[in-house]
Amino acid sequence: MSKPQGSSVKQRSETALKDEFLIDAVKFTTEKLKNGKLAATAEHGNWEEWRERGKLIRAHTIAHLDFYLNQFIENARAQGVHVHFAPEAKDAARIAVEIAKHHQAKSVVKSKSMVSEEVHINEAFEELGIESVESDLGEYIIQLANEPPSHIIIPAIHKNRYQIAELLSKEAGQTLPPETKVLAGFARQKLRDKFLEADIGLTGCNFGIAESGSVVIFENEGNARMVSTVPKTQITLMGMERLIPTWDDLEVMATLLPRSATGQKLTVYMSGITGPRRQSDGDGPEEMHIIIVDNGRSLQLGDPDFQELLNCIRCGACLNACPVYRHIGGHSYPGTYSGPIGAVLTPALNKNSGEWEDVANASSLCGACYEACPVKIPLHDMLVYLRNRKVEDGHTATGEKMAMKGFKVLMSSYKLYSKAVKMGQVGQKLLVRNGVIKSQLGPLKGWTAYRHIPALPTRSFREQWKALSTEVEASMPSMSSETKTRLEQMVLNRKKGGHE
Amino acid sequence: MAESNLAFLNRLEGDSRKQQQAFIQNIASRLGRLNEGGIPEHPLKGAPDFWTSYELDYEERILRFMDNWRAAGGFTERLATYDELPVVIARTLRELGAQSLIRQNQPELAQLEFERILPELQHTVWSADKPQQALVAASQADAGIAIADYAVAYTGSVVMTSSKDKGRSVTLLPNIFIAIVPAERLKTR
Ligand code: SF4
Repeated sequence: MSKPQGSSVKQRSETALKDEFLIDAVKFTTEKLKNGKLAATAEHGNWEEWRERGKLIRAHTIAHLDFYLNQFIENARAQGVHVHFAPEAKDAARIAVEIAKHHQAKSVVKSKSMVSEEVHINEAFEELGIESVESDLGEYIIQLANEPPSHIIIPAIHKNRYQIAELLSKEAGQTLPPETKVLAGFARQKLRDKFLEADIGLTGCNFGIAESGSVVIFENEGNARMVSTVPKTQITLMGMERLIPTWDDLEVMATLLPRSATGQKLTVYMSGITGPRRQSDGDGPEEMHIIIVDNGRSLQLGDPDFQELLNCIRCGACLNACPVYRHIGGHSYPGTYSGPIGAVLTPALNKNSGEWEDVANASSLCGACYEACPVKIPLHDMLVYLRNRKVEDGHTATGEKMAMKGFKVLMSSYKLYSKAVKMGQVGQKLLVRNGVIKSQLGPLKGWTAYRHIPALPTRSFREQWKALSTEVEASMPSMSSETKTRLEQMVLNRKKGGHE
Repeated sequence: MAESNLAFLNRLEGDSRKQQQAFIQNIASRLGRLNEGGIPEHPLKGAPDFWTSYELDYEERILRFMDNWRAAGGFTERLATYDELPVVIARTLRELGAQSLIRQNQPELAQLEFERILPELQHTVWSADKPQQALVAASQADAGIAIADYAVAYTGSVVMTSSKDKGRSVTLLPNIFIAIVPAERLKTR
């Protein structure tokens, strides 16, 4: 699959930042989604209470995932579902392919599923010569462009209607006008034929309901409902953490997810599927398989820094709120997931923080993702933990390592620090204009390319302190003996390590 | 000889049951438990109390539902009696140029006698006995009609369950979908 060139987030971002179409398209849609969410949550009211409830339900489920997963499996089996386990991505693809092969499937029609992207299911089917068609409009567009999704909810967010018209015209064999209605109409007709021909329908799963073994899918186009209604065999890929205990809990998720994702009160379709077609039913799949995927998720369990990551309901609100994502788009991130959730999830699922390099740095740590998150996942804290682990694992860049070493030496000696400040005060004279340094000489460029450095003052704070402290003391009212004793006791206590 | 479907499914089932224990055990041990924990207490189940006690009155429910349905791009009409239904449905389908209609096998719909009031249309009644034919008919029909099991005022949604007499395809495949919502089935949330 083609993705912007470059091996690091930084390199790929540089390419993305030069692409005006991409920047405009991403900015336009994320802005719309963000504002839609704000309006929907304000209209609904009590949003903080809903978030808190959502967080508690998800945290409770994950803390008892062993119980709820077993309950889900047994209930799904009782409804006639065939449940399978995929400890790794390749296992999920292998099982899906085995089912397709057994049924001598020629074509698979898919609804949107990030897990299926994660396990590269399309490639696995293609290797066998089985046609795999994306039925979600956005996914269909990027499938034609041979690109991965660049947003959890809007996979083709980086494309404008002219680019989409070009792609669909090629498929249609005639020039289609860049009008959304015409383009959507063409794609729908084309996909409709595929539904009726397909041997297998493959879906994702927004939530699994443990108490009944049901799968719940939220969507707007009706394509996921078609995928799970028309073909004779249905395969559902489910991340093992997708569960909630009860249908009552779904009310909370159905309140949080659509509003956070697109600002809708509810998606156009919300399907609850409990098992395959019953004997008396006239439609629905004759055979239903659910593949439960781990692929690194269990590594987060029991990890105090990252367990909450599994609470994610994949709404994409953190992407829309993130100032970094909004500038560089989804293809600048490595792996399937982008934005703040991707920056944490990709390294977390892949065990090795070093391999994923600079993705944890693709954040200003502003916390907008946390504010936007309907289940209150502290992604900005997790990004700091990731950076910390990266350093501890020795994956820091040589330049940064040297700079930190130098900083340590400088900051541990007052004399050295004073000398350095003095040298700086003298040296900067050549560079300072109007109180700031704008020069992009040597290492300064990393900073001054985007902002100015304030000049060092002629007298440092330390040099001013003597005069300042006399002034402060003179202006302070004298401390009461009681306060003084309490403060002295606190200092003493702190010296003992704060344990007494 | 190719493996029969039953043998294939049994083999997969066997593999699945073998793997299940290790899969769950891994989760339990990561969570610091030796075995799967017992039934967990779940005191904060479902929506907060302020929401579960939220109730719109009868009239508000109808108005809110209609507003939300329209805001989501649909059309609604409020009728005082069932007797008005045939005329309104016939008018709507003619206006939209529908040439074929599929309906759920619900007795209330049979009473509306669509075949008589819309003789120019091709009519199909959902039948689970002939699933393939029913599916093809639904995919070719211009319009599908069903009586909703429930509707939700707060979100402007209709709830459709499927059964022998109620095919999912009827409410899904045709371009036009007409849902009849008896007012007493309209819930607040
Ligand atoms: S981390 Fe939160 S905001 Fe981001 S996708 Fe997950 S649930 Fe949504």
